[in-house]
Amino acid sequence: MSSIREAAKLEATRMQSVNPAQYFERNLHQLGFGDPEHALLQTLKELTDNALDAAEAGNILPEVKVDVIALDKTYDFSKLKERRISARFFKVSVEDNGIGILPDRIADCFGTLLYGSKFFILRQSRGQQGVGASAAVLYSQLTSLQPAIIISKISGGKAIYIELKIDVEKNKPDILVMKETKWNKKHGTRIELITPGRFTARVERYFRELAIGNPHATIIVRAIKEPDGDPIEIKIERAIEYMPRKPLEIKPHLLSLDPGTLQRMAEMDKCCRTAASFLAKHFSMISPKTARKLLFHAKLPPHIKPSQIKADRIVDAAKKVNIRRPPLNVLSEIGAENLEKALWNIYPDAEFVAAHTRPPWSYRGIPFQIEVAVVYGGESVQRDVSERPGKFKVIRLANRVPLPYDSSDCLLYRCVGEVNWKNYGLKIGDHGTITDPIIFVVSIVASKVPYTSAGKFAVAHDEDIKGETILALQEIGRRLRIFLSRRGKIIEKERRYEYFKEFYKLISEEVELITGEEVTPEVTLERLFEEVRS
Amino acid sequence: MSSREKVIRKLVERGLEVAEVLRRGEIPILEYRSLSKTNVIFDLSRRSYKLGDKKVMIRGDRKTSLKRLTSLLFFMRIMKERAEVGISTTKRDYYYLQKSRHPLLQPSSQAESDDIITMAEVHFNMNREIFGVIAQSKGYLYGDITLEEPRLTVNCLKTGGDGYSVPGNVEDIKIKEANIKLMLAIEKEGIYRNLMELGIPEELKIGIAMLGGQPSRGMRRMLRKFSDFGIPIAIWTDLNPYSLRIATNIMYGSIQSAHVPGLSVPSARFIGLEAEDVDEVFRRVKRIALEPLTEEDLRCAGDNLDLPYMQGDEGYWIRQNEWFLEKKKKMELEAFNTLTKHARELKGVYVEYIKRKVKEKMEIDI
Repeated sequence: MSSIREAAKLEATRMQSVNPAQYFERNLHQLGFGDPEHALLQTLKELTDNALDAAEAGNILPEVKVDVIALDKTYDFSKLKERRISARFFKVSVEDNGIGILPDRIADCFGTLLYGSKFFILRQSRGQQGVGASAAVLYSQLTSLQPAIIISKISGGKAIYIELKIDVEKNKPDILVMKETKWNKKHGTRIELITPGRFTARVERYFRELAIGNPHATIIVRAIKEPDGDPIEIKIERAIEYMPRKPLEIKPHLLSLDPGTLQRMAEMDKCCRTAASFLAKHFSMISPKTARKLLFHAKLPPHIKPSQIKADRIVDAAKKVNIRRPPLNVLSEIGAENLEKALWNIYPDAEFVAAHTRPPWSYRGIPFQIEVAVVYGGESVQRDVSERPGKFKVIRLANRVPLPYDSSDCLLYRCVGEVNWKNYGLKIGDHGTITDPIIFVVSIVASKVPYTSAGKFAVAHDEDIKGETILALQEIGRRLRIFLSRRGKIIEKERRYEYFKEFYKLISEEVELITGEEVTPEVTLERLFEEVRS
Repeated sequence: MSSREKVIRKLVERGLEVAEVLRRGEIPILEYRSLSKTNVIFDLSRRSYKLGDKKVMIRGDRKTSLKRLTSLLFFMRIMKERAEVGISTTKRDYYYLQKSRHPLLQPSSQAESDDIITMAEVHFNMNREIFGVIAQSKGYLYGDITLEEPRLTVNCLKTGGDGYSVPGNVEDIKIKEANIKLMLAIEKEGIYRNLMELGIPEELKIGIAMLGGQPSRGMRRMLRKFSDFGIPIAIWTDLNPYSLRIATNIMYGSIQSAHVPGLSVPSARFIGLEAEDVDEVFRRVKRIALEPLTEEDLRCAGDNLDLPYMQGDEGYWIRQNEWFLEKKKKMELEAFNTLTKHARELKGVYVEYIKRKVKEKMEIDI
């Protein structure tokens, strides 16, 4: 018995609180830095998310410049002899034309994990946990031992140059250099990291998909994949010239909260005297009357202090009391027309592009909105589709950001597979997959996207989201069917024409051989052609 | 102008018409009388088949017509070329020719290319033989007949062998002289040769023709030429349901060749063997002379009852068929041998029979 007690005491001395930097240092794979390909893409993803946000914050049409330059230096991901995985270091820089960061806040923005303006707010945004850019910095410094280099300038201010590392023990930036500098730009931010990874086709594709989710952004990527290699440039001009509507903040909805969060909010509350006023003030769609009803159902007196509520009972009561859906006009959807423009921009040789936007709806008290698009036919579509034969090609966007991995776990992908596309005129292959050259786009915007994990790879299952997505896909399917049947008729007519043409060639040959005279079937054929075409 | 030159001219004319249609930018349309059974009419009064007025159009703007239209033009070209060279064509030859022309014109079987030939016959209203599409030759002629072929003149008594071998194409053969009172068309070769050997044609001043079963188109055409020349035609076959068909086909034509002019010989008369002969000629030897009908023969007799050309002649053909169905017996021309005890008697038997039946059926004394 005493040995067990000793062990417990010993264990207690080892225990200490772990700060976010320490936690993520050990769990980088959770953030998407698992292997060489993921690492580079995740770095680029986090930095471009920030860049777009920075521009939109100032109502500026974003222009994001990305440089990815291969260095003559490698990093071993796995040091096991049998399974050695090494990858090249890249110098990655992302530059935006955003509002810039106040000089004294720059270091915190990039040098502290879970620092940011977004953590407690419920609003549609690209990043959510406030770990993105600083996680990339942390990853860079762990692998390359190099600091991050940041330049930022606010309108009318001076450009500030900072070199920093993250002090993992303190979760604080460790500023190595900070000075004023000259920067030929009115405002914006540029960050440069040395990070290992692989520049694959998926990376290139990511930027095209990012442009589809953000038709108002110009994205310029310059890459040198191998040291001394030839530079490639992917330049995607913006497809529309106006800013999307700004998403609005909303109060949390009781249906979306777990009891722990509610308890914490109640304990931290300093402004409300009673539980009823606390509920009515801080939560979406709760009137004082609804608040009293909730407390009644939770078997709690209405005049108790907020800190005295039983969060689990309130959450249960919320399911019984009919709380109205949250305000739905708080989202910023891409827009069907804009989505179509963006797709034509990326797939100019497509035969058919269609997009459909569902009206906003909510899941567990959180507003969301589904948009769906298809691109059919053309060489560029064919090329993208053939990258992964036997699977649906689905571009998934969550709050305008592409989800490049884990498609089979993602609700947005699975919904595409649940629609019987044969009914909409598509050809289905041996394994139930579509053989036609078609790319689907499924986009969700939400005040909070339900991801399956912190790495934001896949959208978790939810019946409301699924229902909306399927409805949107079916609507697109109907339009696709109309297009395909018209296209089928045209192809049939063309085949018919070719058939006639071949026969008329034979007919004129025979008549020439019989008569010895030259025969001209062209006019007849032309007349037939008109009839056949019409 | 030889028939070959006529054919070439006709084909070129039609070709020029199509060329002109194409020059005007119009759609070529060729038509022919429908060969479907519903458009084949048996004209009892004229005792022959003929085609009705139903027309089929092969239009250059119909997907389903293109192959036939092009094949017909191809047929025309091939026939023109072969006429120029002076060679004939069998149906099989044409099948291979069309097969090798172009994948789009490939016939699925010979039946399809045969149909193109038939279509051309109807379209031009000309026998295939005129184009040079010729079936295997079959049948012989014997008697004091002088025939004029394009290259020589032949007397059918002086051909040697089994007589004058009737060629597949008789279009260019003319009857110059016929010192015969009658042409006797005989189904079987044995009795034909016996008559020849016994000098009966010379003695009776008749011509004899050996059909060899169902007669060839060349033979039927030849018989028609004799008929048109003023020579009465008598038909002498076995007594069985199939032989009735041989006889009636010579007289009235057949459904398959309803569109071909000049193939039937309506003036021809059937002299036997008929059911009545069994009691009148063979009564003494009836049990030996008759053979049992096979199942197939019986079925044929039953079918004959419904054939349109079996309905005429005051029920004669129906009665014959009913006899088969009742007695279930048949008799062959070779049965004449049962009437003789010595070879010397055979000539008398034949002569007596022929004279009597020709007198009876055709009111001709020979």
